[in-house]
Amino acid sequence: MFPLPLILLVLDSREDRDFLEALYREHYRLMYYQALKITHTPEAAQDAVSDAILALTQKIDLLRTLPRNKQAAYLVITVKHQALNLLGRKKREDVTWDGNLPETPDAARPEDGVMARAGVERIKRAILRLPPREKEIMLMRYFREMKDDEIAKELGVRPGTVRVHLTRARDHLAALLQGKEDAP
Amino acid sequence: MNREENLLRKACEEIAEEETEALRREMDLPSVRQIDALYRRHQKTVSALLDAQFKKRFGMKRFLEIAACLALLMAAGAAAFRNRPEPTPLSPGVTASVLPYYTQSPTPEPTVTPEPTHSPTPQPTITPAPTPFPTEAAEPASAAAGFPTPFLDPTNIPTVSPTDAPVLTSGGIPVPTSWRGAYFPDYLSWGLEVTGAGANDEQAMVILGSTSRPDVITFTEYFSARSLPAAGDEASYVPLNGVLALRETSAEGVVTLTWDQDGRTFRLTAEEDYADGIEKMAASLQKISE
Repeated sequence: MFPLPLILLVLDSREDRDFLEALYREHYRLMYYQALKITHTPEAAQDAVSDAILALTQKIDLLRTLPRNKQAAYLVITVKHQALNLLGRKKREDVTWDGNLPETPDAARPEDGVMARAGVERIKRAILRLPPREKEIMLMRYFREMKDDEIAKELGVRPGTVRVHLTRARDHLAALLQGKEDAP
Repeated sequence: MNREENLLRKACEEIAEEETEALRREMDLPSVRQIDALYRRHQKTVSALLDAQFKKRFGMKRFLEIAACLALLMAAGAAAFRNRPEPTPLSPGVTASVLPYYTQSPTPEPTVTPEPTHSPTPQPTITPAPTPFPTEAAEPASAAAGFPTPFLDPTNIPTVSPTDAPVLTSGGIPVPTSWRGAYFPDYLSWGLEVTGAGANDEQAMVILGSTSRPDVITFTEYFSARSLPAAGDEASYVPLNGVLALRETSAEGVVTLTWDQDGRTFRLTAEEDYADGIEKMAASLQKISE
């Protein structure tokens, strides 16, 4: 009786590893292409893919629940964020992505429920109009289902900073949905 | 989860999927070549990374889980021991005593049951089923070297079974009645026949062969455009039906053609000695249903 749970635990770990490797093998072209597109060098692309795989090991349970098309998207977006982080780390002056959002005046507090009244399509269009950093942080939270501390760790900032950024992104989004075209 | 969160999730999901599709569409052939080379170079690093990561997870999280497991089992064992039934007391006036001697009750001689006479029992009919995918024993050497092949893709491969009564297409290749794809090749020059077919929600697959070699050609239709694992060490591109198909050759000479058409991905794999005409076979793809 004793060895059974032990064996199951070991098998579970092995299964996770094989699952992730199978996903990587299936989608490696998209992953490397995404990484190359951002980093422009094979070495940096490899680093970004490696970082993404490390990040994905923390999300195995979530990945297992996703349908295959979403698994591919999850891998691609994870690589994208890792590549952007890598660029940010290597080139802090690059304002494209450094994990920190610039200080911007807070948008006027939007009225409550504006997002709940908007459809998915409108929200999607509005997210696409957000500044890139805000858009990516929204994807981290709502697509990669990362918690504040996970986002903070990945971006190298404090969890409090992440909360501020997310609130600001949501406010900008709500302002856009209210028709304030130049909200962000 | 409130409605607002739900909407944000759905919107972000759609954005992620659209970005992925756009990426898939814009990937050009030089990029694919560069990526494949990069992938081969990086393959060992990634495997080592995964090994290390999951060992690490075993070392910390798993250790605690195992310890908790053991503690629970020990607690359950101790509880069971404490709750064991008390021995039933003997009736009043009866005292327990040790038998003065030990007698062995005679055991009956074992009777020999005659062997059942062999009667011919109906054996299950063994249908010469095609080998849907080479088993590990038949694993190509390229896979052993860590290079992925479609044969080894462990995910969601349809079960392939011997085909039912085929329906002939105008061109002559029999299409299994269970074929769930929208396309089927119309040309086959080697005198092979359909030996197996299967499908799941994402792909339909048919295997062509002969009695002696039931699985020499595999044709797979993925119902949506897919990024498939590499299938060989040598890659080149051939024009096919107005697009470029990736032609890969494994170390064993197995040739694989992969191409996208009409929002679907198709893959045709042929053993070395049947590889000559697969471009023509691929080019003969006919739409047989919507």
